[in-house]
Amino acid sequence: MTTPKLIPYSAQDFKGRIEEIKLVKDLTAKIASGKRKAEEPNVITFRGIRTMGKTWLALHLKRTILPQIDGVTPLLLGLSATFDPENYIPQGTEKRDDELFADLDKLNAENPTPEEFCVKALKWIAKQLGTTTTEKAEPSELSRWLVRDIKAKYSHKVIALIVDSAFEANWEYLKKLEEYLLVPLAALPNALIILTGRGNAHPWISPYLRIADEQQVKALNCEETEKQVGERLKEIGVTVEKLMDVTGGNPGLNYFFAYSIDWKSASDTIINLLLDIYSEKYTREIRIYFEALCVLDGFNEDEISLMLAKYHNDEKYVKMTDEDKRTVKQKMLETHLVRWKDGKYVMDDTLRRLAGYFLKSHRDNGKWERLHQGAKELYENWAERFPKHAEYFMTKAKYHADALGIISATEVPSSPSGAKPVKIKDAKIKATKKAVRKKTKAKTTKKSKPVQSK
Amino acid sequence: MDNGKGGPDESQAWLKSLGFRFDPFEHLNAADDPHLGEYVVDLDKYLSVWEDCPTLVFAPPGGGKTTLRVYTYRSLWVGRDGLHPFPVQCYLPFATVHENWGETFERDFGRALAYALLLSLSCRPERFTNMTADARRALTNFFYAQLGGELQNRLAVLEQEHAPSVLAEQIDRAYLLPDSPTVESVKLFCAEIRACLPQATAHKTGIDTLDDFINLVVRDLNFQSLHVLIDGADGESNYDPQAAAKQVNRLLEKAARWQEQGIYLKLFLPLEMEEFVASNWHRIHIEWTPALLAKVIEQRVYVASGGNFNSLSGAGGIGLRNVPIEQELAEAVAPLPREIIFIAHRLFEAYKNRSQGAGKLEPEDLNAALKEYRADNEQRHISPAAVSAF
Repeated sequence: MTTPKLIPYSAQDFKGRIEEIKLVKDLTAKIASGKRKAEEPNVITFRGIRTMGKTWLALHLKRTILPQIDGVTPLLLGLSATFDPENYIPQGTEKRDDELFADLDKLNAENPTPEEFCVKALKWIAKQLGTTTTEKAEPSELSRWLVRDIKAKYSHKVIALIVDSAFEANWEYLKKLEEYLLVPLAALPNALIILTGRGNAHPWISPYLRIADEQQVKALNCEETEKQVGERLKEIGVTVEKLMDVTGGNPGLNYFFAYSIDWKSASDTIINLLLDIYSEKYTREIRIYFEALCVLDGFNEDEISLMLAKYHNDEKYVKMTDEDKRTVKQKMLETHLVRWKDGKYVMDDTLRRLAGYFLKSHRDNGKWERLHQGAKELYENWAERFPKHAEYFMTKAKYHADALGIISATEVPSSPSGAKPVKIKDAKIKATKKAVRKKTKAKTTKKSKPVQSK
Repeated sequence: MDNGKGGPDESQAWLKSLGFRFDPFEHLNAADDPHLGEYVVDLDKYLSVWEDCPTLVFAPPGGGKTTLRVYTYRSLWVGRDGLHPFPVQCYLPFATVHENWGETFERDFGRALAYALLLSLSCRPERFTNMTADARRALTNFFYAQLGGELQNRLAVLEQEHAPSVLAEQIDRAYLLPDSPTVESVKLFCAEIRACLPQATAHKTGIDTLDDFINLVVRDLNFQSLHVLIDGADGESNYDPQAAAKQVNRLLEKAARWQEQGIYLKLFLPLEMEEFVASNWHRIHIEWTPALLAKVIEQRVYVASGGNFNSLSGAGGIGLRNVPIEQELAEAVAPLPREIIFIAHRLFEAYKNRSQGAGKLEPEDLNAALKEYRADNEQRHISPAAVSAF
């Protein structure tokens, strides 16, 4: 595997995130001036998938933004190792006393117990702030002393604790950190807590964390992407728009693709990295699921068997049991790259784009066309079976018809047979709509028939 | 993701079909639900219930008082600004008015305090074992005075099971604390209490010795303050709001003095009592809209699915795609969370009856639940005040 060397955080290379930074600065100002109301959260959560730049944002806030504000003491606690091609360390190798990094995604013999880690974290904060600590102290004592001393010595300062990759840590650690560190701090009027992470929302118990301000870390826009890798794109003769077609503005991927020679190979590598295939956390099987479903704008278990059948070009998958479909769905959910949204499971947009790009760039195997064609036929079938929702399903069918039409119209390599691809006519869609209208009319006519007098 | 927690057993295969680890609408009585603390919605409106001041929370029956009380209890136990308020839950029916109400209340209140402390310390035994010998004896005396022979029985349960959760099931399922202590620490806790028992006396203590209790809780056990959460004012069938309010007013007369001592009363009262409660203490009203009721379902579904989905359409088949199930249910019920949970329970029952637990929820299940709810509405007791209040 050959990947471009990712660079550790540097303020000069950090681009974008204007809204996120403003949010933090505004809240910090409110806290510092004492104008934050009790019911306004002093906890902000930034969520996003891998490569979206959460750790860079955490580092930028800790090292560049917050130090520029008078009266703020920023601290950074990292709970999980990040996206790691060839031992990439986003924070760099220089050790900083006010930053503590750990890798707590597993609770095992190699890692400290949750209580032990709480003691370590509390002692580290105590050392940074000069608050009370002793050699042998329980986390409850350390927690109490920390709060007492902050109230006594630091009431004029804003104590900003940034916890990076919070949700990737094993939840047993979060349980104890909630009690001994996060809630005690969150209850202080001069504290600011920033959490970054991916995956499902942790079920905090305390209301101080439950009402946190949740933000999604967004992709960079065109202008920000231009600032990030514009120079490089000029060198390789690629426009920002073409890059963003593939990456969607994801900053990690912007960099990857800008510095990759072969995009086909790069997309293959990135997909495997996002799916943790190189670390052997998952097998290539999971990748097949994502590729098979990437053409859909959302799915439930009902779509899984048909899409796999089309992917493999093998009708045996149509007979998958409910249990098998649930297993596929569950495995996908465990990657944290699929979530429930607006009534369906949606794949992370970056991964979906990449998988689609990968399939398109290997279109000689016919998968891309089969998947779209299969989806179109599926939704047309559902429109007939469920006339109440015909419009909803036909809209989805049209999306796939259009996708096939777009491919036909643009410059693409020819199909295996060498014949020029033909634009798919939407005759079938029109026929289905007509049949549905006929059915609906028949029902209406029946209802409005006058009642026969007895 | 449920981060490694278990799923349904074989007898509840239907839950697996729908994608749930447990039935989020099984318990109509809030206090019976072990997951209650994870469901609370609209929290930012009620933050003042955690503050250090007496608070009155009003809602109609089935309106979420117990949920908020239980959640408040559990989240206070997680703590606040480095110090833990000590929360005590009392479920005290105020309804029966009799001459000796005061004595009855004192007895019940004392017992509630004793049980709260026994359960809390069984989850955090180091707080007891780290006390001085005198303080341990004083506390054991308090347990014995309030609980008498029951204390021996409860200790026996702890010694046998080594799990406070088993004890909590027997006393009050709302006591669900976040910690599971080690077997050794529970054994040590029981042994230390037993060692103090021979010197314990049956000297009765009541509310007048609350000063001693608060000193013990704050000084010796290192709790910051005492939050007394009282529910159950409408717990009896002969409940009379006006009579019950008299008892509440008596209790509230003590609130100011207790506040000075670091004891904060939090009363969770039925709405119809409000006009009779003569107090200027802070008041909160729990109010529901269809949107909030839909959120009740969404939050329960989220927790029960292990975070996989937050809408019943996640458990639905093709026929329920694009159907706003929660909204339909919310608009069909009286604006009370108990009602929305009830109708959602009916939806699951309809599904089980139709499908024998295979497949997904279908439109006919939803239609059946709505139809049954409307038909049953008149037969089931829904307080006229609850319906007419909205």
